[in-house]
Amino acid sequence: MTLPPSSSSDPAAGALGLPTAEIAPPEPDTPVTPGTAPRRRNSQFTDIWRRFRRNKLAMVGLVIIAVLVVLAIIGPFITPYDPFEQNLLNTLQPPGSSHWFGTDVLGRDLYSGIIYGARVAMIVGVCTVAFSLLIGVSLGALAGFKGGAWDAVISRIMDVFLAFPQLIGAIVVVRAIGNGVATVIVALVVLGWVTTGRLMRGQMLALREAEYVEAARSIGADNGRIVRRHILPNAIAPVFVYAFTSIGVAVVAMASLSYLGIGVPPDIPEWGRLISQAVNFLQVEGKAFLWIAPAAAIAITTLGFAFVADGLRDALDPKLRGGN
Amino acid sequence: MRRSRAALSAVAVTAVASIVLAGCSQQSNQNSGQTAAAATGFPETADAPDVPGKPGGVFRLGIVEPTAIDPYNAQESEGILVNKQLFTGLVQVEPDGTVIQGVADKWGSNADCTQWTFTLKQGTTFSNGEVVDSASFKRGWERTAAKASASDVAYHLDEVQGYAQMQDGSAQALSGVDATDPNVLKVALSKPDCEFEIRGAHPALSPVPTVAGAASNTTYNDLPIGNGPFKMDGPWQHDKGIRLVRNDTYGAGPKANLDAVEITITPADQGAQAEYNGFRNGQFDWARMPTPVLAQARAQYDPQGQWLNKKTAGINYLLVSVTRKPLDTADARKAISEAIDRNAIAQGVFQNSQVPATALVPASFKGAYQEGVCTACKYDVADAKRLAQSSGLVPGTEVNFQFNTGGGHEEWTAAVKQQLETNLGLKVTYSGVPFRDLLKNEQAPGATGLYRAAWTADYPTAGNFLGPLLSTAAIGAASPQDVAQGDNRGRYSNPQFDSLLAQASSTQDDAKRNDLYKQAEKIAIGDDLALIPLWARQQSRLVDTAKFDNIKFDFFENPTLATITTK
Repeated sequence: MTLPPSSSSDPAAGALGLPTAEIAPPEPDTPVTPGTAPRRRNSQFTDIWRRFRRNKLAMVGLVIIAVLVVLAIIGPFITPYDPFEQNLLNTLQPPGSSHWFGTDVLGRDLYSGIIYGARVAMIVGVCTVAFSLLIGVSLGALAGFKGGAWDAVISRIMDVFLAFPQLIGAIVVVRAIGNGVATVIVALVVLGWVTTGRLMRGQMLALREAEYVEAARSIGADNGRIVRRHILPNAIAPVFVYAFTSIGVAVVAMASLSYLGIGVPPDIPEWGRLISQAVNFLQVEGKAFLWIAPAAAIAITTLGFAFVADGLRDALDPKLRGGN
Repeated sequence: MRRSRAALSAVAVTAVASIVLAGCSQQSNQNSGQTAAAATGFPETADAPDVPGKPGGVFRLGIVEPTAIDPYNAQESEGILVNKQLFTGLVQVEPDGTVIQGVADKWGSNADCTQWTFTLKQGTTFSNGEVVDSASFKRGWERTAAKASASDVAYHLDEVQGYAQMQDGSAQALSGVDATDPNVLKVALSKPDCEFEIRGAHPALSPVPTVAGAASNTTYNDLPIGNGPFKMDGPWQHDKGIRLVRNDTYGAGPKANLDAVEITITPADQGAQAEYNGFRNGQFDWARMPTPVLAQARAQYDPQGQWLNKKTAGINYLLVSVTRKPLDTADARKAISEAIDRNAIAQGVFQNSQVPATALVPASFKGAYQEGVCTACKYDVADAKRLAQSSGLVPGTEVNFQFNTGGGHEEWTAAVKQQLETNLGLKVTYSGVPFRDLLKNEQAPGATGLYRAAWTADYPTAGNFLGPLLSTAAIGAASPQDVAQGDNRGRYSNPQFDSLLAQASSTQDDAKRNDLYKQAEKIAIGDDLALIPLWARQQSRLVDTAKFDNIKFDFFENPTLATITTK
């Protein structure tokens, strides 16, 4: 999906595989961005950002995410109508000047509903991934770094969780503890942290034997410092990329649960719920507007996060770019 | 590079700006001063006059997989559809609810309705040639009532003497059934019931031949041999289909005209959709439709005479836990009822395919129907607030409201929730659960608040609504801490109501009995509002009248297969 950017002029591409602050070459001022004020040394983040913004799709994704975040935060102030307010005298109205996206089967304004849905999607997506990261990274790092019995136990636990397909597992969890936004997050985290954990563990295993780690160890750095300062910054890249992709996945999973009628309660205008409502009208002429808007919202959101994840991957680890 | 970035930020700025500008303040989503036009439901279609048609033809339809087609456990609409083609009981029910002869040609009871005598038509046989006599009925009833059968529908025999002993396993025969004369079936009841004969139309009371054996006989379960207008053409192919062919030796009534009935089993959760699709592509001759397509389907098929619509013997209602707070007073329940705008929901959500109900007993019971008996079945927010105030249903009170998922109830329940919250300021704890869980939750001793529910008649009497749903005996729990095993899951109990029902049961005169039923309904619904009626049941079907004549709804919302003829 990601087009290889015109990398011939990218000095970083040929530089080093792993862009870490610790082993970054002591390059003097890089001459690539003539517009910026000369600085002594580019920080790691400047490098990443420079590479990232070259990727147009990634920037499109970033804009999408920015808009979504803005909508999620200020949504209640900008929706033309209360997204919850039903008007049974005005149901299933096609898009028009007073209701841009039309009204749903309960007479709620779909445009306001979609904007409100962005808030639900962002909360679920971000919380799910944040908690997955927290659990996954901690346990994965522990397993990978400590090895031995720690690794064995944690890895087996991960195997157990991996045995469940995520969506089916989430259905079971939601069924067990009832529906609601918090429940959906719990359900998605319970089965979502494992992949992060596995990724983290793999990175740890690879990096703990790296030369710069041994170098750090040889000058007497303790384990905590080695992990925090040397290994984590390098190991986190693929995990971070995965996390961004999985925000999109979490949004789809949430929508799927609601579509199945067991996610968030049906009176909340959530995208999957709106689609599920609309499906009943698939065979009714002139009601396609019911599903087009929420479906587009889900598609755009997922794409946005996927683009950013792709861009991030390339920017964090230029070695991988376009090659895989 | 620069340009594209500028373009991107321009997009971002425009996008954000446009939505900010779009609405600085939220508008009201209400049409001021407007109220919904009265929802009338789709007009009922008139039954086409009976026409002489040709025999022959294969009628095809879809149903979802029934629990059983064997009489001992046939229960839901689909199981009854198949069973009624294979078996004819003592009596039969006409589409309008009138009771006509089945295998019995005469019946009557003693003065207090505890001893019933059915005289059987002579010489009718099962499709295997065995004669249908009173012993066939005794055999069938005992097979249903036996403890080992664990039948879900055995309770239809609960008035027969000896039933309790069979249910607890202490007897192997129904002591109240006398089959000594092969042509006369005598039944002794443990309590008076002047409407006992109508139970004879239920599959649970069908006659069975000796080959039926015990209820555990799986061969017979899947390939029942009966005395009905049709017989099985090979065993039931589970989850695939059932094929019936005409029984040419049928003796209990006029022979069927169709050569065969082909029943396809459709996926359980998408039955209506599958039937509708099947009708449109020529696979089925009779089909239900999902609610959203009703209006469109009606516009298309009604002009072609392929649309049937009928008010049927059923009610959609809210089950209320009347013994537990906050809905333990009549005023609180009336406040809830008056805060629900049934009409707006019928118009807005159901697109006028449903009619608000003002009584529990449906209009199809002409003698017992009392329009408006539910005085609180109106939309009156001011009065609802007054009632709520006086009954302690103050704003902020939590009310539990559950419905089952997958049944198309998400939308209207969300509308009810919002009306209760807006009109009464209640905090509605609203959740959708699988159907089995919903039933369990209703039965649990801790049940509270509102539950979505519906009831359709097993046999054509108002008593079949009032008794199972509201009588003390139908709670089925010895104490409030027990699970409610019966159908009165709201646990309504009113001695005055119970005694009126008992009187009705022991009243022979139809008009007087209906009058007693009316009084009972007045108490339970008009005064106590023990459950909250919402919509009268109304059914729509698509039928292929280009190929077939004489298709009607039977009393159980199924097609009258035995009378259908080919054009």
